[in-house]
Amino acid sequence: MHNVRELIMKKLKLLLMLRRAPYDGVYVPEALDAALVAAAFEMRVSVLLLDDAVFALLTDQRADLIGRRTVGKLLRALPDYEIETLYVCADSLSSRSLQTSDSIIPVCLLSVGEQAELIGNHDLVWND
Amino acid sequence: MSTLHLVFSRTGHKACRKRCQQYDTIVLLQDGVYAEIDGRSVFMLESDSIARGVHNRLENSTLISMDQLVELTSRHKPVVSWR
Repeated sequence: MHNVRELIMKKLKLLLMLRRAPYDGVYVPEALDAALVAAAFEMRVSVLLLDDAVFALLTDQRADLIGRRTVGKLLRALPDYEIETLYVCADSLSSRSLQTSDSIIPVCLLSVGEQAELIGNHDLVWND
Repeated sequence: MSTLHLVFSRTGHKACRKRCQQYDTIVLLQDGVYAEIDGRSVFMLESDSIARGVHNRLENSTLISMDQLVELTSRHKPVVSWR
């Protein structure tokens, strides 16, 4: 088990991989909250969206209609917490007929091979 | 240290398989033991695979105990779970 102070002091690199659709339970918004907390404690946080999680990028979400928090707005808050780059699986996006121009914020597209490298470059990986 | 992938389901295995590197280690556990393996060698948790009757199904798999799984987690970084 990691000591919290140790994690902070070492500025460990945390990768958050999101795979579920944005309104499938509360997984995606809860995970993004966790990312913001980790970043506030000076961990170096990266976020990668894959599979149905790429639907979180869509503009014009109105989650108040289903009594939920709008996930797209949470994504837009990431740069305020120095999570500057949002990584997105290129295959997951194209297989759902989506493009980067559909996205609420700028993203960095990665091939699956590049995602494998990204995983290997982090100390901790959270995957729902 | 290389990456350890813990695979908990067939969909988890699909997502993992595309995104793991050559020297990464894969462990199948829970319903992940039902995954179809493409020639690559993997570890399977003994109790989960025997419980489901799939322990003899995969040629390239090695059965490991829970203690051995703990040992693997201590020798790899990062450890990634695929649900």
